[in-house]
Amino acid sequence: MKVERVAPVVAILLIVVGILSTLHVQSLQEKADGNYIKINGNEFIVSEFTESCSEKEIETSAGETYTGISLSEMINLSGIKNPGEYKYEIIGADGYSKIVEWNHIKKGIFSIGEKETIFSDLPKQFWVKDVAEIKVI
Amino acid sequence: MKGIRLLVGIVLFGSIWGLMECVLGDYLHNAGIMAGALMTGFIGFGLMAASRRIYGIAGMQLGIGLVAGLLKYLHPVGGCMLCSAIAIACEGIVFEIIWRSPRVDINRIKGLEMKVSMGIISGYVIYAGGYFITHILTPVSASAPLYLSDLLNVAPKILSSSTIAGLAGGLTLVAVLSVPGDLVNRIADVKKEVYYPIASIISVLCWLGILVLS
Repeated sequence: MKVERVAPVVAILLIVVGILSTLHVQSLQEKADGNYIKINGNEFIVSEFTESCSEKEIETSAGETYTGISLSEMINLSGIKNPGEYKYEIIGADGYSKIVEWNHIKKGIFSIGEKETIFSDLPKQFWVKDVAEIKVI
Repeated sequence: MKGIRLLVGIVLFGSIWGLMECVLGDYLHNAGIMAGALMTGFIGFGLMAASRRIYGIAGMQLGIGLVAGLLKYLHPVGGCMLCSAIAIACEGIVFEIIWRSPRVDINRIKGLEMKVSMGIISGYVIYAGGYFITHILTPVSASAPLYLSDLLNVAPKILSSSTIAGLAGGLTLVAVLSVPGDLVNRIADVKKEVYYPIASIISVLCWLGILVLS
């Protein structure tokens, strides 16, 4: 088969896949309510965390310093027993998600402004922006 | 001697890409604009396509990606330096895979439709490929947990943002191929007395720029 015939078809297919994926991501973002975060099935108002959790400062391996509230305290608010026995799937409003273990959660913070999880001991790929839900798995 | 000429070309194009990633890429990232997709579609793919056009040697773009990735890693500002560095290095590999066949010789592509199509395919696949690979290799190289479900969940976001890289790639390839062939030949055949000093000076200036920014 000639490349000249295949290339335009493949290019159009990729653009269609891209547009459908964009629509899917946008539909997820529309569903998420920016004022709430679901943890272990319970909904919390974001402003609740500042009152109930202590503030913490962490330094990344690149030497950057970030301040936020303790992620482990935030998860403990959901009333989970023996949190060290579970893993946690942090899901962003756009569907981006990362699974992290409790030992990483203990070193993590939640930045209220960006609604972002930040970890001192994990690459930035593990930081989830605009967090919508934390699932216990 | 041709080997050294190619090596200097790899360092030159890789250094320019690396500097652009550190300056323009970080600026776009901090501005909340789709830095990765735009940088890959316009700059990364543009430099790799231009170098393939000038030198006509397969395998060179792999080296260009590695040099750019290394320079990005050495510049610890902006987004995820490890993730970005791995993605950039892998983008060179993906370019080589796409343009491996002699049937898609960049200097023999005719017609606007074919140029735009190959540009879209290249921009989209290079960006998506680099993004997927970095989601596997970053946790591995950082001794962090790697889960298949993470990769599946991030797939829609990758496929979505790759659209911008694809469209940028379409424009970029048309622009690269619009440069007249005789001008490309003159650049390719430039005398060694001019080529080596100019390439070396530009490369060193790029490294200095990255060091100053770090």
